Amino acid sequence: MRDLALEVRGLHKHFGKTEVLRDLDLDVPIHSIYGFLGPNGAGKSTTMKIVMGLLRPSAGRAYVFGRDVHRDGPAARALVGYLPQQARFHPYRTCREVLEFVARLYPGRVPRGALRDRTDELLENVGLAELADRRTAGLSGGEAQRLGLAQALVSEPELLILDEPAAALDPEGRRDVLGIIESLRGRVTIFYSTHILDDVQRVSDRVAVISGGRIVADGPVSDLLTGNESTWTLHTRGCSADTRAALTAEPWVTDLDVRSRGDSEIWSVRLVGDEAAERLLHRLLLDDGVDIAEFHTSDHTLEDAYLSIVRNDREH
Amino acid sequence: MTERLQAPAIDVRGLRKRFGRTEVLRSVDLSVPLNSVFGFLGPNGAGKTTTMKVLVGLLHASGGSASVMGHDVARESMQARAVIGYLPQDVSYWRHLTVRDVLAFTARRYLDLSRRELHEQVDDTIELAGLGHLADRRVRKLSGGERQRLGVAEAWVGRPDVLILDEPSSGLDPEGRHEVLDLLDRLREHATILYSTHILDDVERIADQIAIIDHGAIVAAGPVDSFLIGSTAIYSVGIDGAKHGAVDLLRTAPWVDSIELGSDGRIEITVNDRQHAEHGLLRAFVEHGAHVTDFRPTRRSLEDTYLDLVGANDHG
Repeated sequence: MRDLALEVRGLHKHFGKTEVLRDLDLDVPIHSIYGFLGPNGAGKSTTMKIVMGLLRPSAGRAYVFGRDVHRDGPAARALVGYLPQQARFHPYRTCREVLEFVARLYPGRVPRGALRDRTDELLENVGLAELADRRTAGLSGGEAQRLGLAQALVSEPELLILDEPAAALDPEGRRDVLGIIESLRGRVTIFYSTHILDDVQRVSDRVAVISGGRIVADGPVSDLLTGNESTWTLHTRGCSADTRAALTAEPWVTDLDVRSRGDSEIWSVRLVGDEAAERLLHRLLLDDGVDIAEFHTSDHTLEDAYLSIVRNDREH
Repeated sequence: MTERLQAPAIDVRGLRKRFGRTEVLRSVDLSVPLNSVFGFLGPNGAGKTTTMKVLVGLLHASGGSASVMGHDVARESMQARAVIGYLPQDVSYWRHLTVRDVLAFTARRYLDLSRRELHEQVDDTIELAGLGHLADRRVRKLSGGERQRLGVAEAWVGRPDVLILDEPSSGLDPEGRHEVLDLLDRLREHATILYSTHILDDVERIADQIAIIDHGAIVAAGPVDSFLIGSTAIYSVGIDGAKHGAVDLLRTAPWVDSIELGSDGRIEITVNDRQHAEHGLLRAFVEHGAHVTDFRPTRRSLEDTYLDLVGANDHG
């Protein structure tokens, strides 16, 4: 199936009268780290649950490595590791017991004799080696999340589906989770949902944005980051209100937004014409009291791209 | 640099807090400048919420002192609380109240106003929080982001001098987070804001100052920029056309350590004094007729700096 780890075609899902997915298509290439983005309630978890066979679609199909997740469910699921959004573990089981239990759900994927080595290796990889025999009730939020990742990996899956693996973690916890995802690059396909777009920008190859039950944008991260060449960012200090007002009145300045940060200001300026940026610099530097710490066309972040995609979609 | 002419809005000295044998705060010092947006960062369990609770009078300190707008939080508890608006971490509302009901209820408890003044103040607050179209909506119908903005609005409705917000943007999707950050940005001219968060990229965007707490003690504090750019900074300049005049001039400047000319027309300049660089670098190029296409210091991300500081402390 054209080197796709996950393929979704025309997926619909309604709960009673509520339509959660409306004709959803997805192509997740093998070995990609694929970010699945969208507002709360847009349909991310529902899509993942359908792929995992936890929900039945109202219409449409999903394939994992070419296997239909409903007609050929067991064969499809044998290749997938899954971390649900709020993973809960049996409180009296130890970390190792959780992994052994999950491994037994995948007969044939982990030979009985190799199970001990496999769980040791995984616990080591997610930094839980010292807690192997600790009951899960005593784990911190970050530790539980890493155990969740480990149980998703125990069957040596070819596709990992992770529902908000980094939510509610502190920065160290998030770095650990991203580090684990990064370490699987090139070996395992990872399809994960998140709200932390800066993280996505760091680790993902491709993203899809879902809004109102449909995919409204998808592609390589770099494609979404094409910046706006006419907006400039300036970090400056000491510019008088008069100078600012005079600049705003210039025909080549169409918009000037100022945010203050301590004793400096961050300007976002929209300019018209080739010479405008240079003119702006000259005008500012005429005043010897003005300092400039930064001057460049505005960086376009994934967050900017995402917000404009989702807001555009709402308006239509 | 920022001058300390005014007393800080929040002043914490050697604050300690024990719960039984567990020492949660070992010695916390904080100085939150008046009218700043102050990001309070640290791992889960480091003591952020405890510090905030001591400030708002929900916990008594075991040692040390804290004052808000000059009022000692222990000895002048009533006066201190009168100038604080607080948003706890997990706030819950009576689900059937409307946005206006919640704010009117809180306003009546804190403010001694006539009926009309009270309604005006509630309406102003609703407007500022961007909840105008939702004023009569019941709380249970609000999205996560709307609910958090209601929380911030509730903290603000009594027009305090200081806002203490415990993770106001956690658990939200990107739009929700963005709306909360925009609201904090609108409030910055009215109040001093101390807020905790795990989303360091947001802090980079909005905060003036930050402090990082780890294991009950502040491990670093200062203006955000000081975490992103060291005192020895490297500036990267993109130039079209003539540049040698400026380069020759800069080589003689005592605050320039070295200049490297890249093959792609970029120039990397290492300086030992950012104040001088911000005043003189761009000027030197512009006055020598060079066309500057962009100019910026190489930054570290706040996340890198944070993880260094917090990680170092773990092994210390």
